[in-house]
Amino acid sequence: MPTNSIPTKSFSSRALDLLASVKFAVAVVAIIAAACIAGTLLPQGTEVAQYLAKHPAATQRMQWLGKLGLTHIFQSWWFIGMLCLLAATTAVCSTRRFSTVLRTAGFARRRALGSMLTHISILLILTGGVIRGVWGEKGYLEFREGEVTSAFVTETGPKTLPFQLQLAKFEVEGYDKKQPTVEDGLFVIKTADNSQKLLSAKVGLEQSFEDYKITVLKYIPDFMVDTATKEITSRSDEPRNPAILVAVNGPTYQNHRWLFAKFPDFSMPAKGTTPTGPSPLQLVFAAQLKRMPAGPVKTFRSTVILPTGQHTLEVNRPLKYGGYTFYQSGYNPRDLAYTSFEVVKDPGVPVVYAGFGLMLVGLFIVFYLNPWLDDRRKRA
Amino acid sequence: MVVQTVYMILRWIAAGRAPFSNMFESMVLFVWALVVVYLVLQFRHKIPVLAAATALLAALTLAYASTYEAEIKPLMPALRSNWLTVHVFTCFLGYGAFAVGALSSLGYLVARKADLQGAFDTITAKTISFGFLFLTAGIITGAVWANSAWGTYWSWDPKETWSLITWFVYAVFLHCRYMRGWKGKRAAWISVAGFASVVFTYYGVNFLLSGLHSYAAS
Repeated sequence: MPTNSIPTKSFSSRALDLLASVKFAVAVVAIIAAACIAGTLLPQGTEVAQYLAKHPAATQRMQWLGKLGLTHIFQSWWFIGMLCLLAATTAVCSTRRFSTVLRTAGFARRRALGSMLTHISILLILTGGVIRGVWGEKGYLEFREGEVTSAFVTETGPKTLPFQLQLAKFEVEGYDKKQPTVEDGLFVIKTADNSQKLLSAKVGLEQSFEDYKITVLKYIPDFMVDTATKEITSRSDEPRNPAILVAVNGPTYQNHRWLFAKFPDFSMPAKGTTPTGPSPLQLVFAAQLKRMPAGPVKTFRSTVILPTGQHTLEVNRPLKYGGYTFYQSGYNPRDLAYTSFEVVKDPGVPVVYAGFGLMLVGLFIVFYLNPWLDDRRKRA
Repeated sequence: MVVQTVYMILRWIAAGRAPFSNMFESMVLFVWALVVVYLVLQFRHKIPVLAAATALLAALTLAYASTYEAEIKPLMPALRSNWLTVHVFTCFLGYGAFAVGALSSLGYLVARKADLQGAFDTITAKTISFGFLFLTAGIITGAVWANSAWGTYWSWDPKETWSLITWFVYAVFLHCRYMRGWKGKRAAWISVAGFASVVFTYYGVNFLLSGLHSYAAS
């Protein structure tokens, strides 16, 4: 006896149909887009504190927004949940496109193939993001020239690299190619109790430090002592061995000394002068002729020493080593021996980049290759 | 367009870099892209009123660009990358296509003749398909650049986020059109909404929202 009952779909089948429907996908995308708009209009993360500093009256409002998860939208469970839903609908669409690829031929097949690749690319990009979230690390480290470190700081606390790196050199390059002179240099003056001050190395400029008057009397770019005449002279005009002659005049102490940029621990009395006693000051010509460029900064770069040798990194040219990537990120214009790096470990990048490539290929097939082939076929 | 192309090449030579780095330069590029997209389209679809609308938009944008400082300035360190050229060029080629698409959609909405409406509808779909590919390429090259400069390909920066919103709007348009057969008014309105999102992504974000792209407001 024939039955008139209509076969009902199982729950899983209906769920898959829902995920595959354009309406559902559009709804998911619309919610994500609305959340994105909110995320750009409402203060997020660290911006909240800055916002409250400017608008203290908004504290209660911010607390409410925080409770609703609207002050950290892009990290909230519900936003990540929406992205998972997007991944689910994309996965189902990709599967259905795959069956279309198998079932059809010609225009329809190529269109389904391009569309499938585009949808798979979204899955790859989201997967790369998950890999980054689970296995990735991101932090920063800061150090000075000569220092060795393996420590970096992440949002969750300090971490240690499996190797050490030393900052050999840091430099800031400007568009102005003028070579720095001794006048751009500095020297450090310290007292026994470790108070210190940076003074300009400009020749003839009298500067004060506590009760002392300090003047740079002379600059020699390539210091040498003539062995025959015992006279101090410059071997060349290049700053190969820069030295300054500093006069220190205080109530109880006077001295004229030569300070050397390349030998900071060494100084020597000027010919024909005798200090009036043991020096209460420690003078270091720490200049290395560093200065901020006069005009806009072009780039800044660091030379670091790793177990494999010396490497350079600069803005837009990161350094990859030991599974980590180091990005030149910052410096202090008042202290050019200091720099900071972003430290990133992101095993998801190749997956994301594969997604990027696949997306472009998929879109090219859908919008250009397929219509062009179809057009050619019709003309033929 | 020839004069503008020559101007851009000369500026490129004078600056020693692609002239795509501030509001003035990007507006000039936008006008160039807008005109290029229209001229290519004209091989197949000649609609005088669309040509006039494109020319008017180009002229108004150039006039507005002239209110910005045109002096060539050196690039900040993060912008000194070949990715800048690729990223901005692809984005603006997409923006140019979306602008023609929006003009065409507006044309559809005001047109009374069915054949003209049909031509506008086709142009909207074609320009959005073209623009979507280039917007996607622009977002991708921007992400690759950000990864090489800052170690993160996506940071939910307002500009990035609004680019994604724009991408979503046009993705919805394409899905509705090719999967559900949406044509006519509904498609035209999505196209107009998409271009409103483009304008906000390009212009509004620079002035209303801060982020990694804050240099673009100068």
